[in-house]
Amino acid sequence: MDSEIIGLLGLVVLMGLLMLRAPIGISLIAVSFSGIYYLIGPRPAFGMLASLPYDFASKWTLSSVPMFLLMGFVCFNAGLTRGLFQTARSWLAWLPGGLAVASVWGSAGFAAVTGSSIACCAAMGRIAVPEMLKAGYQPALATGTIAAAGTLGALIPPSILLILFGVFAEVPISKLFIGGIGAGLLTALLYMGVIISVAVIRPDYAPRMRERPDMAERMRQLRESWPVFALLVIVIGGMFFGLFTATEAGAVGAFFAIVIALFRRSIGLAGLWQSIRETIVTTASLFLIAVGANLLTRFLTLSGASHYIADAIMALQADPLTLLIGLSVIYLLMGMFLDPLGAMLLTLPVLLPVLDQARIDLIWFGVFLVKFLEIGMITPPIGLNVFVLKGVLGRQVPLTTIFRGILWFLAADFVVVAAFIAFPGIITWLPELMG
Amino acid sequence: MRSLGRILNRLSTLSAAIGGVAVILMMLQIVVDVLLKNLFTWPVPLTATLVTKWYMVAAAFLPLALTEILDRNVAVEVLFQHLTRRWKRILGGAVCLLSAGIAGLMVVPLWDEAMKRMAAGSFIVENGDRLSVWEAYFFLPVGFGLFALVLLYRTVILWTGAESGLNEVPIDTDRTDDDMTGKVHG
Amino acid sequence: TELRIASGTVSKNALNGGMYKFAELIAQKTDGTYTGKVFPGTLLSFAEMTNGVRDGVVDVGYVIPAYTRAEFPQTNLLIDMSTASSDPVVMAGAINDYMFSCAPCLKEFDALNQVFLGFSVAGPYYLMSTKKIASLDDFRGKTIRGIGPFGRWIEAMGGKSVLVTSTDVYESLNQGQLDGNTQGLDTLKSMSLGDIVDYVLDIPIGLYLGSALYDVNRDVWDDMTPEHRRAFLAAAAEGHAWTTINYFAENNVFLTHPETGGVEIVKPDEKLAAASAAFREADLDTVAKINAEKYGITDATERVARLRGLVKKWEGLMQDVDKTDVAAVAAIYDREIFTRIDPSAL
Ligand code: NA
Ligand code: NA
Repeated sequence: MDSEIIGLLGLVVLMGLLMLRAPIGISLIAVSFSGIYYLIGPRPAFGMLASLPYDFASKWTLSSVPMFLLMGFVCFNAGLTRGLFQTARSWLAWLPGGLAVASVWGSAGFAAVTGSSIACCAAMGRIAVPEMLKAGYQPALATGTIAAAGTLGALIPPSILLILFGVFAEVPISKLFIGGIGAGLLTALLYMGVIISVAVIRPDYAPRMRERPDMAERMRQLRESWPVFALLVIVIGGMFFGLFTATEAGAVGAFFAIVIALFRRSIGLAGLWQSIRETIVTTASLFLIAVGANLLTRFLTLSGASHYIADAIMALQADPLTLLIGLSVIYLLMGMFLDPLGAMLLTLPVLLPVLDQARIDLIWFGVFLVKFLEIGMITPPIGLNVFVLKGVLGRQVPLTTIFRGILWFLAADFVVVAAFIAFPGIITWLPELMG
Repeated sequence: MRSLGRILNRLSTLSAAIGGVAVILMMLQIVVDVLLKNLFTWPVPLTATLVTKWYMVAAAFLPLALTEILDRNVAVEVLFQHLTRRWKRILGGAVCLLSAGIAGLMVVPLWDEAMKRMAAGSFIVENGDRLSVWEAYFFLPVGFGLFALVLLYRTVILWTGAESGLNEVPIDTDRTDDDMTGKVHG
Repeated sequence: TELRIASGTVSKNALNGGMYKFAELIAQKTDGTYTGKVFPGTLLSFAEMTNGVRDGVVDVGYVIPAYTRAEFPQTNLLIDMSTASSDPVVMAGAINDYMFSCAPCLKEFDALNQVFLGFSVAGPYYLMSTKKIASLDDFRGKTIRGIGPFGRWIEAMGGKSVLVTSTDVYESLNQGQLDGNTQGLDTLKSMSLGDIVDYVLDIPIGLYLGSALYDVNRDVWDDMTPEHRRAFLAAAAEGHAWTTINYFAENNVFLTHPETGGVEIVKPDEKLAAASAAFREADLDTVAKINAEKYGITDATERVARLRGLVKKWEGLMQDVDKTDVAAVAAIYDREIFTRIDPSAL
């Protein structure tokens, strides 16, 4: 049998395993190990199992993954997330769909202290969705807002996906981070536009709030939220002004989050252990997937399947625009089924040479890619953000309702992606300022 | 069975806690390093080596068993959620058994590699300072080994319906609290 | 037979080019019995390469013994001697001459189920900096990245040497945490360092000796006929000549045309040049001392003396040779080293 066929067969088996609810990391390892065993024999196959996990994990750049996770969990457990939502609410409640708009900006704020969209979605979901439902919001709109706004967690720095992209594509993570700011803000603005439009057209979906906090109350709320803004200034500012690198920023951010939370007495020992436990458990499950995805890319490389795909793309001789549109379709399809890490690790080795040839800026592409991976987090049938939200809310809201609510935001996302292609400066302007 | 489950839970938590200690040490050492570098151009010796070769390895692999107990390994629920309780137990047990096989399969080469590193006495030299690193290679077979044992135990529980004692998050009922941010402060 | 040939990066420099060259050479010298498919960083990282060759994940791998000092104590002593010469072509001759006559060194490779087929020599390494450094005073208060002998050189010049992982070099320079980096000048382009650094100090600091480009899996080697082994040794001789010469030429372009790397070449003042020369002279003794004290190599001093002698010998051998002519240099490597190896004894 041709080795390329083995590679493609492996992907089919992988999909089968995933459908049986086998853990993604384990499925990736099982398929890749069997494939490598078949292609080049037992000793190399076992040899890869022996060497790869250690060498993958022992990377300086990846150390920021647990650090940023810790920062986010400490902020959540110290109640900072709730404060952020209350602040956004006191300032934005007067708008049509004000609660939902406040959720978007609350998520944007939390995104600045957390690296993952799942964490962002889970945190805001448990705070904001009950408030919206209580205020009479249509469940689809309430949950769709949170699932979509959660994706800001990986666009606005820090971002674990951008870190991993930087590691694999060998581009400076600080530039990727700064590039993500423009992308995240544009996304948040358009989400706000979507919510206001829906609320104006169907006022029954998002009843207007009667409460109108006065300026004194708003300022009080804002002052209450100072720790988040302080963290934001410390992390982004420190990176921008060269006190530490993006890798070190995670440790500094986590440290100050703990210091601030302890200083305000808003976290106890239980909360601290809770944060640490969540950090290590999330880290371990992330790394298991990453190790598996890494093995899979090697299996596909050995089988020649990835080479085959890259050659096919190169042979098209597409101009950059056609190439990007083609990639958008591929990522949209992959995003429907794959988790973002797997989708990224699977495609990068194939794509990097193609991008190089088409002279596509890798900083721009990194942010563009993460935007698509995040769209995949909210598209059916497999949308991790939606599943997480469902997990938080339990039986109150069916899965189909959440997916229905997301449709509005997907429309906004397509505008965002088109804007990235039409005006690359949205992403590249700030990083270029850095020099 | 129950006491076996409890022992596995304790071991998994202990192993994860060591990973947690590594995360905290990593944070503290990087912060002190950044501080001293900026103030006195005086970096903390061996920071890069300790972070990558020790803390990261512990944080990434020692908590594997706990991730399984808390059912946090990302999986796809599309079909599974429509099954009856009985089929969830049968299929869930089979998947746990398969996973246990894979995790167990990894223990062999990982252990072998750790023994080789021990025999060689692997170390890293950073700016003239020498740090032994072979010990950290043992985190991997330990992490994956415990992971395999927990998975195997879950298979038995799911298939026999015996009382667990592992305190795991069940997969055969609707869940309301399995998010990434914990449940204490829900 | 198609062999899997791997390096640990995707970088487009001559060291990676040397892997493609080897694939070409073995096909040519074995009349197509052996061909190679190159995996540049897509199959294994450098950290995994030693084990990858050992286990047969790849058949030929670019191994960097400095990654695992514990497994290669004897070999690393030789790699430490960066300052023994600043001529890469001479140095490649000297170190390979030494390696193939050093039984304990070869045994280290054998223990990892692989056959050593020689080192390519890269460099010299230079100091690239964001601020102009032309005198010993300019080094004061500067934080510069340097590994091993390069770190010792920075300290000897009065700077502060630090270790920064290669993924963080760009950022640290960009943010001003680092004032400079000591590495091959190809990094001005391959790691985009030319975007940030503006100056290159015109002092060759030392050579990077330890790139074992063509480590062959032991089982693959044992399955070969004596003629094919001979062909592989000849391919290695030519491959090292090609890589060493091309890497040097690639780097030299940035000295002759600094604007292509976005830098300016800075001439050192007399005191700095003298201090650097003194360091280069003394560093081999330091190497002997460190290896004896820290890594327990009791005859380190004799070994250093022997390499010094071999450098003299190779300076003589290369005296009338055009050191940019790959064929000519390869012929001498082949004649003096590779044809003298008994392939069945490797
Ligand atoms: Na973020
Ligand atoms: Na999806």
